[in-house]
Amino acid sequence: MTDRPPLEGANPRPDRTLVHERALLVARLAVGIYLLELLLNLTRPRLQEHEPALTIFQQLPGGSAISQFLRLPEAVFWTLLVGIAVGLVLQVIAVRLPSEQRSNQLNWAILAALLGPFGLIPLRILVMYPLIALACVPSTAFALWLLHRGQQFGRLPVTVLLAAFGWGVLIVPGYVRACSSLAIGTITAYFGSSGDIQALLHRALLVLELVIFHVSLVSVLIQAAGIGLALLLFRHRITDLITGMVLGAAIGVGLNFSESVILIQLFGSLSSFTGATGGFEYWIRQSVTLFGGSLAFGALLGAAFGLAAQLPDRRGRATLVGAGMLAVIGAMSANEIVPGWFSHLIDDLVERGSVVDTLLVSPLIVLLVQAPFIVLAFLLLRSGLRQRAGIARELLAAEARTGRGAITPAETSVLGDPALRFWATVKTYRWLGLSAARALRRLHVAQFELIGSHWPQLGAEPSSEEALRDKVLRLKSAPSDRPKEHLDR
Amino acid sequence: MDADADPHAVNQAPARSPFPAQRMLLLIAGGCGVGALVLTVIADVTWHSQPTVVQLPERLRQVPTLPSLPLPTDLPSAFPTGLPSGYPTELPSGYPTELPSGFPTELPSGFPTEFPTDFPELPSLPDLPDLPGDN
Repeated sequence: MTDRPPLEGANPRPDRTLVHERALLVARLAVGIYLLELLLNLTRPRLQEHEPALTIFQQLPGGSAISQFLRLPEAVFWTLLVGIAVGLVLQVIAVRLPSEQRSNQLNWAILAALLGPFGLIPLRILVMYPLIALACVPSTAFALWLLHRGQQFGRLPVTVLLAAFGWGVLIVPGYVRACSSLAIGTITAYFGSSGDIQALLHRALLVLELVIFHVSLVSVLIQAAGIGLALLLFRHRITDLITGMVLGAAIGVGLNFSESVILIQLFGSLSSFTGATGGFEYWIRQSVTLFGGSLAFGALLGAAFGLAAQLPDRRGRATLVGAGMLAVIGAMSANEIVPGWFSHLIDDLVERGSVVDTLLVSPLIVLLVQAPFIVLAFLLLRSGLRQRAGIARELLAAEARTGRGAITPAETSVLGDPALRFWATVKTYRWLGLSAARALRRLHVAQFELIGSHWPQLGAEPSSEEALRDKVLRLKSAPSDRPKEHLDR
Repeated sequence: MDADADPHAVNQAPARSPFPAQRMLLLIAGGCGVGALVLTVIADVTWHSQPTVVQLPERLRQVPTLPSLPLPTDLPSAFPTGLPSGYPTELPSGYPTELPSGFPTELPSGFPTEFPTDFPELPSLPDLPDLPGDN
């Protein structure tokens, strides 16, 4: 028996209003967590007289780039207050609107007002260091392209993939930075500042560890919010494990892009103290762990959501989402601390900064910590693709049996095998030229859209199905634009 | 139908438990996450319990050592060992114990953040004059 859901008994999709309500709930929860951080910071013990109400209001002298960067959480705070006010006004207007469509459009504006302010911090960083950002573009674009091309039997629209990537670039690091800047002040206040230098040092390390755990937790929560929003708002024909993995991985690629820019700059400035240069950071983040790290962690989190979306019971869904989140919190925390520890352990064996260290030892140490999660993500990907292939072949055969001509029995073997489909496109290109290959590609996409409308997760929509079948038949009957040289043969 | 079921779930109520392999992989991932957290705590405890050593640049560590001098090992018998009576041992009341508000807590803009690489060689120490009693 194949490991997949039954093809019968799928439910119709929930209505758009309910979907928008749920999306707004996710955004409000994200803002609620930030407000909780504010409250904790506001009620912290005061270590000095005349401390500002919030630690993010500490006045920093000078107008240097780093001072401007450290002031950004305060800017987010004020902008978010404005965003919440705008969101409330829009909410009142949306409730009074008679048209459901207009009300749903306003909901998009509310989402932007509530979550947009968090994008200020990464946006500012990208503007501050455009050349580093530019240097990270090729590898990031390559990772996104692979994510797009790697999906079989139904791809996410490119716009959805880019939206998830944008969430990872702007919202995730901005939200994490806004929350963690408050958490640093709160945690430090609770640990006090008295004692000798050793006690202070020990406490500083403890604060650092708690902050790293906090960053991992908040990062996972906001990534999960992004995957949840994408699954809710951009309903596609196929919602399964692969859909979730691709969304999560795209968010991870975005997060890696933003983190790379600031960390390459930071390590470049502090290389005399840390020993790592900006170039080394680029090598690790944009080459060695391009498909590990944030991408693999995001894919695991997305897999949990994609799988949970197909489960009938809430308990099962909660267990899977909890397992996914726990996996990524642990992976992110370990990824920050454990490689440094391993590197410290072998300090006497390998010369730090040597060629062997840079090209072999350090990358291996980083990958060693990530390896279990990368392997699990790969196994989930393989399992998800096999599941998709099984369902697709069954649906192709079912469509062929209808005898409507959109998919013939002869086509099922080609469509059901990605390698054969690719080979057919290549042969078409060689024999008939580029335009014919493109036409064949469009036909295949339309045929997969058609079988996607039968996909068990979402349920069929008869009107949509007929329109898609007509589209396939139109493409099949379109006049062939074979090149003349072939016709002359 | 499961009483706990969400009526808007994307896929509804198969009788059997679906996706056992994928669920198992995700649960293993959750277990790995717990393991990673434990490893992080072990790394923290092990690594940070060691004393912090400040690494000086190699050139600074090569400062020539001074020759040993025949310093007296005993203090003179009349050497004072305590503070004179009436000497204040505490700060006068009202003496500031914290930095004034507005005191800069960061390096000024433009302050160098990297150690100079062309650190000059330290001059060699002059020969010490003979001490009384030396031959």
